[in-house]
Amino acid sequence: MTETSLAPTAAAIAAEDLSKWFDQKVAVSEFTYSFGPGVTGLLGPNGAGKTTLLRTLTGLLKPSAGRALVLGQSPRRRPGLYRQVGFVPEHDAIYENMTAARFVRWSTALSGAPRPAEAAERALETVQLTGDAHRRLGGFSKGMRRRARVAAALAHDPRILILDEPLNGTDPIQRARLIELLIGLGREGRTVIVSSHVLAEVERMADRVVAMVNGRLAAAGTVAAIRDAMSDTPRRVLIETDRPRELARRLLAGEWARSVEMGDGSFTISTDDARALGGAVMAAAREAGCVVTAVTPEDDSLESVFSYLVRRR
Amino acid sequence: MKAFFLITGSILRRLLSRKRLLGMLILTCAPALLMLALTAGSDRAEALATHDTLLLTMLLPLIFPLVAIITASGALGEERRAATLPDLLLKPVPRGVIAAAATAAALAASLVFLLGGAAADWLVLGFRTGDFAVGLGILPAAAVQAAGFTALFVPLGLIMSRAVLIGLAYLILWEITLAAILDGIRSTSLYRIAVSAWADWGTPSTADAETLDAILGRVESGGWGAVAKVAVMLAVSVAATWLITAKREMISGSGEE
Repeated sequence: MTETSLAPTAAAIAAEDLSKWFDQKVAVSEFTYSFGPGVTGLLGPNGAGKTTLLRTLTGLLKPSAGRALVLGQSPRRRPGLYRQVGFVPEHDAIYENMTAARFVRWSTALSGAPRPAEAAERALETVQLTGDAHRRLGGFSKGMRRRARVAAALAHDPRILILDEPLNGTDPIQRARLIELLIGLGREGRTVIVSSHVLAEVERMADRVVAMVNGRLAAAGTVAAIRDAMSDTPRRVLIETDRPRELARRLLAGEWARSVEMGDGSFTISTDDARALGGAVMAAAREAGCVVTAVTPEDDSLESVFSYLVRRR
Repeated sequence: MKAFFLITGSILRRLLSRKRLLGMLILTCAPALLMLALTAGSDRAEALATHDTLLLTMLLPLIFPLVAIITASGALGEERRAATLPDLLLKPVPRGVIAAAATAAALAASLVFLLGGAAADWLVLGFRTGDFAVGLGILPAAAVQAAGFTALFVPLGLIMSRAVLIGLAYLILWEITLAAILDGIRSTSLYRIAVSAWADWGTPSTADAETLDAILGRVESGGWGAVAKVAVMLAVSVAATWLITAKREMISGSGEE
């Protein structure tokens, strides 16, 4: 595991040597981590075990081994703990016959909040669904359903918020607003756990990151620290241009390129420093009079980042 | 108590959706409409005989149970299949309250469907015979069946994805076939428990003694006995549902793995 600084304090939710398996398949393996106040990004490629971990932490699934603790106690034995937990599941299944207002009010009342109608109204306003509050959820887009779920999760003012891919299906504006909202909730001292497979999103909102690979804790710490820990691994960048051979030749002559693979109207360059290469590409293109139409880091996706982590382990 | 009513209300609203309400009432009222057609121009004795045949071969052994099974198995089963069960389970509400609320909602919805069909049957029989006291026994019989099948199929619907098919097989194999052949198991037949209530409270009973004897065998007719049996079943059912939601994992493994 890559260990970095910023260890969380005052664990609100914790996994202690937690394992979860289904028949022969191990989904989470010997996972130990304490989630404290602030926003923690839970990162991992599809199939890494994020959803299973979150479901086990909330008590929806029973640990096969180890313990999942909410405020120091097992949520499966103490459902009263759910008063302090808001959960947004990964899927967009929802009570389709209810209106957004009814759903959030119902959920808030069940969570034991005083004055649930007012709390629900405030939460819907927070996620900007006031105008659609009296429409049925069945007619909502995926992004609107996510926002209704977020409203239901935070309306009862919980100390712990667990959100499984909350930004899925939201448009860029709503995504930015939700990120701001989650950052704000983290700053208020709540424990916010957000799972995602999109590194850039997590980077914007999380104080710290917990990375999972094959059900195991692969790295934990600040985003910068994890990035730095991986800086010794070469990165691949796809460059699309009208004169690929000329640009590739110039870049190979410079100090940032390790190797080049030519394609049709493009080439892929391997580099130790993708940022520096970006600058070099523009300079070389200007010198050569090339038109660069796209510069795409091929392995900046989290899956690639995690493949590095897997290789490092 | 607030949580109980909130959960009951949400499940009941789903179970009584407009489409389902219409479909189920058409199903439970179909025998009454059939009787209306078949008994046109019949005298009282013929109308009673036709009524009893439809009641004892169609309504009580098949239609009412099937409607109650579909309704009860959907109370929590549909929440599970629609992946909305975590919305109930991740709330600070004891699992016993969730179990009791789901059972109450299933029972209330089944009562709406079955009593609707029973009321249609009673009205048609009263209209044809000119005697509205004669068919009253169908109402408690329907209530007994609603309670009995709710008790069986709320927990079964929660743990089995094909509870309705299993219920249909149970009706055909156990209630209709085996209980008709083996006198010893008739006391476990919900159909016969309902018939015993109908025979006791249908004042005056419309079925002749021979017919009742053939159906009930050693089962003694008795309305309050039937009520007591289904009340015990409901209590056991709530306890079973409580245990299932507390001990079992109510969602599939995960979304992504």
